[in-house]
Amino acid sequence: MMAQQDSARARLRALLGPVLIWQLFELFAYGLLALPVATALSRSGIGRFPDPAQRLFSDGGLWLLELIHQQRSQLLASVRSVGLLFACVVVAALLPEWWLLRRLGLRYGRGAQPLRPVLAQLGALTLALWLLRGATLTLFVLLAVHGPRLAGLREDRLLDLTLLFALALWLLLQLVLSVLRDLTAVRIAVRSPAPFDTVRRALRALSAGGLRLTLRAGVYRALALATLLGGELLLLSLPWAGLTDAAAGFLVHQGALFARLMLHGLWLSELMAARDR
Amino acid sequence: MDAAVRSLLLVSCARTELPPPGPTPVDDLPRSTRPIASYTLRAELDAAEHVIHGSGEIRWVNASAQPVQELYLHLYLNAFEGPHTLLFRNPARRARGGAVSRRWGHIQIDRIVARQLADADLLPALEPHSPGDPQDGTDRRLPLPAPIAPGESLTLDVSWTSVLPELSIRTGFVGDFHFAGQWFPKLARLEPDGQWAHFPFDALSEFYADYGDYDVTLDVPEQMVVGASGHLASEQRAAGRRALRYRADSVHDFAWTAWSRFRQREEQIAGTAVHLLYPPGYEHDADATLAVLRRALPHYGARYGSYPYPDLTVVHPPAMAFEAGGMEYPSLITTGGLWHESYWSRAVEYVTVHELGHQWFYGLLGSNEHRWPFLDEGLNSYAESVALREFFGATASATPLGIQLSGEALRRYVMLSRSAQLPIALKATEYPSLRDLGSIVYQRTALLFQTLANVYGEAQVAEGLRRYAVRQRFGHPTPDDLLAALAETLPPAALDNARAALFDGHGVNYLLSQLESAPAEGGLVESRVRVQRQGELQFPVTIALRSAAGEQRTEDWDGAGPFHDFIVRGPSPIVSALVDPEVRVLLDDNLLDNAASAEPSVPLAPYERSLAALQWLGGLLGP
Repeated sequence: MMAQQDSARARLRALLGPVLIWQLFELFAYGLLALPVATALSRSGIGRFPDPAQRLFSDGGLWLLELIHQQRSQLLASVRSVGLLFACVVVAALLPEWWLLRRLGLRYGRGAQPLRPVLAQLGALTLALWLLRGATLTLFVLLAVHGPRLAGLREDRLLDLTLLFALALWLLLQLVLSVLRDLTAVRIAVRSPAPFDTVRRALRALSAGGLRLTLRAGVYRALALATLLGGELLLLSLPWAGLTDAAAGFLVHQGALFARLMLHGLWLSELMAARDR
Repeated sequence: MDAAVRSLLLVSCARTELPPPGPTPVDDLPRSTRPIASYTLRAELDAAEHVIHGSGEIRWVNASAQPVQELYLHLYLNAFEGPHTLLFRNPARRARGGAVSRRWGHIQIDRIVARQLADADLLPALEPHSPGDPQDGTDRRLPLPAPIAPGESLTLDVSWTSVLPELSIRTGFVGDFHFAGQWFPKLARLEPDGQWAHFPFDALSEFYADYGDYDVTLDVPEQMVVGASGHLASEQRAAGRRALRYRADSVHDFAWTAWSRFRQREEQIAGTAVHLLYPPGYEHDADATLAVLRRALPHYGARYGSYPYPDLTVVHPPAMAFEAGGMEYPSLITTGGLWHESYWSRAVEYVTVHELGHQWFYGLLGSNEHRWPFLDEGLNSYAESVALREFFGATASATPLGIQLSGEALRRYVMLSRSAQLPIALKATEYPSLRDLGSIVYQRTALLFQTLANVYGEAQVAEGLRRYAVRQRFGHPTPDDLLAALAETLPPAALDNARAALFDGHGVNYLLSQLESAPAEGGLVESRVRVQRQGELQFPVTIALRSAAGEQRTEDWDGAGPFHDFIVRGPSPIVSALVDPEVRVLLDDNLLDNAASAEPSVPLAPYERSLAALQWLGGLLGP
C-alpha cells in the first residue's frame, strides 16, 4: 500500500515540472492571443464608468453588447492574425509535450530520442489526426444537414435522436483516434524514428486493449471536463467573484487547466508504464 | 413578419414560471366592418401534385370618390415562378428564407368574367406582367370595359390553378405538408382618392388589402388536418375527401394549411376559440404556446382593443417546414421552433407573442405594409417588448453562456448594426437590404417608442397607442393617424423627436467630453463637467456626479443646445460623471462615451475569461 502511494507520489512529482512548463507556455502564448480583447477593453471607454467589470457583466447585457458592437470591426480585423498565431501556438505546443514525453521516457528507462526527428514525427502525427478528424466531421455535418431532407416525413424527435446517436458515435471515434495518437506519440518519443512501424505497433496495441484503453482515456477526459465545469460552478457560486473578479477567475481557471494537463500527463505516463510492463 | 426578430430569438433563455393570465378585456368596440373586397372561393387540393384548383367569386365595391376603369390583381404566387421574378432577383429573399426552389410554382387565371358588365370576359385584357417589369407577373393590371362608379359593386367570377412551389418564404409544400399563403387572385386596395395601392411581390415588402368577408371551402384528402383563417362553418365528407367551409368576416387575407400528421388542441382563451396545430412530438411546445396565449390574448386585448374574431388558429410547422414558421395572417398565425427548444428556451413563446401582436398591428390596423412597414412591424415590435417584459421580466430575454440579455440590449445591438442613418418611415423597398430594414423598421422603431416611454412616461405612450388602435380599428392608418393619437397624450417635444426619427432619420448621441478640476477660493475645488449632445434628437437627461470623497449628486439637462457645462464647487473634486445613468435614451448612438472619470481603469475580468476560453480551445485542438 505504502509502496503504491510512493509510486503515485513519484509519478506526480515527475509530471510536475514538465506540466508547469507546459502551463507557463500556454499562459504566455494564449495571453498573447487574447491581447486584442485587452486592447478592445482599453479602447472602448468602459474604464471610464464606475465598476466597469460589474457593468459589463450586469444583467441585461447592455454594456457587453455595446462594447462588442463598438469594437467589432477591430476585433474582426484581428481574427486573421490571431488565427495564424493560434495555429502556431497549437503547433508549438508539441515542444512542451515532447519535453513531458522525454521526461516520462527517461523515468521509465526507455531513453529519449533527439528533438528534431521526434518533433517532425509528432507534427506529422498531429496533422494526420486532424485530417482524419476533419474527414469524419465533414461526414457528420453532411448527415446533419441533409438528414432532415432524407428523413422526409419522419417524426422530428426520431430524426434528432438519430443525429444525437451519430454525434455520440463521432465523439467515440474521436476518442479512439486520440488514443491511437497518444500510443503513437509515446512510441515516437522513446524509439528510433520508424514512422510506419511505430504506427503499426500502436495500432496493434490499440487492437489488443482497445476497449480498456478507450475507457481509460474517456475517464481522464471526463475528469478534465469536470474540472472545467467545477471551476465555473465554483466561480459562479462565489458571491464576491462571479464573472467580474479577474483574480479569482485566474486562480480557478488556471487551477482547472493545471488539473487538465496533469491528467493528460498521468494518462501518458500510464501508457508509458504499460509499455514498460 | 419577422426575419430580424427570429434572429434575436435563436439564443437560449432561462425558463421561469409564467404568471397567471389577466382578466378577459371587455369593451364595446366594433367586431366587424363594411366589406369592400369579399371572396367566396372553393379550393380543391391535389395533394399528390401540390396543385390547388380554385373557383369562385370576388365581390368588390368602389369605396373611393372616383370612377374606376381598371383593377389591379395581385397574383403573388407568380413570385415563385422562377429565378427571374422580382422576388427571386432580390438577394434579400435569402434572408426571408427564399432558397432557390427545386420546384417552382405559379398561379394561372383560367377564367375571369365581370357579371355587372354583361358577363364580359376580362381574361384577354389581363396584362401579362407587372408594370414595367416583363420578368415579373405578380402585379397585373386588368382594364374594365366600362367604369365602375363610386359606390357601385362589381362581381368577378373566377377560376384559377395554383401550382404550389417547394416551401419557400412561407408558401408551398414539403412532403404532404402544405401551406397556402398567397394562393388566390387577390385585388389590390383602392385608396379613397381613386388610386390603386398596387405593388409586385418583393422580398423586402409585405401586403396591403381591403377588408372583406371570406367564405372559403377547402376540399382536401380525407386524412388531411386543416387549419385556416376564420372559423369552420361546416364540414362534409365524401369519396375519401373532406370539404371544409370557413367563414372569415372583416379580414383582408385568407391563409390555410393542410398536413396529414398535425396534432390538434382546442382551448377557449379570453372568449376566443384557439385551435393549435402542431407536429407529433411537440406536446411541450404546445403547452408553452397555449400558456403564453393565455397571457397574451388578454394583454393585447386590454391595451389595443379586444380581439374581434371568434377563432384564432396557431400553426406550429414541423422542422422540415420551418420556413412556414413566424408569419401572420388574419386570425391565423404560424409560430416555430424545434421540439426540444421549449425545454431550454423561450423561442416558441417569443415568436407566438410577436405574431399574435400582428393580429392588431396588421390585422385590425390594416396599414400599407409596403409603404410604411414600421406601422406594423415596428409598432408590433414595441408592443411585443412590452408584453414580454410583463410576462418574463426585463432582463431575462436570453441567457447565452449564463449572461442574461435584455430585449432592449438585443434590439440595440441589431439597431446599431445598420449601415446608414435612414428614416424609419421609408417604403419597404427603399431600404438597401433586409438587414437595414430589420434594424431600422423593427428595432429602431421599438427603441424609439421605448425611449419615448422612458423619457415622457410609459402610461402616456400606452394611452396614445391605445387611442390609435381603437380609432383605426378596421382602418388603413397612416403615420399621421399615429402621430395625431400620440399628440393627445405626449408633449410637443416628444412628437418633434418622433417625427425627426420617423421621417428624417435623425439620431442622437450624448457624451461627456470634459471633466476637469482646479483649486478655487476658500480651499474649495471647482470641477467642470461638459455634456455634449450630437444629432438632432433632443431628450432631457440626468447627469450623475461623484466626488473624490464619495458624495453623489445628480443634475438635469433639458438637452437644448449642443452642450452644457456643469460647474461644481466643493471640498473635493468630481472624479466621475455619467450622463443618462439609467439609459433612458435607448436611441443614444454610443453609450460608451457617456462617462468621464479622473481615475479610469481597464476591467481585467473579460481579458481573463478570454484567456481561459482560448486555453480550453487550444486544449481541444492540441495533443
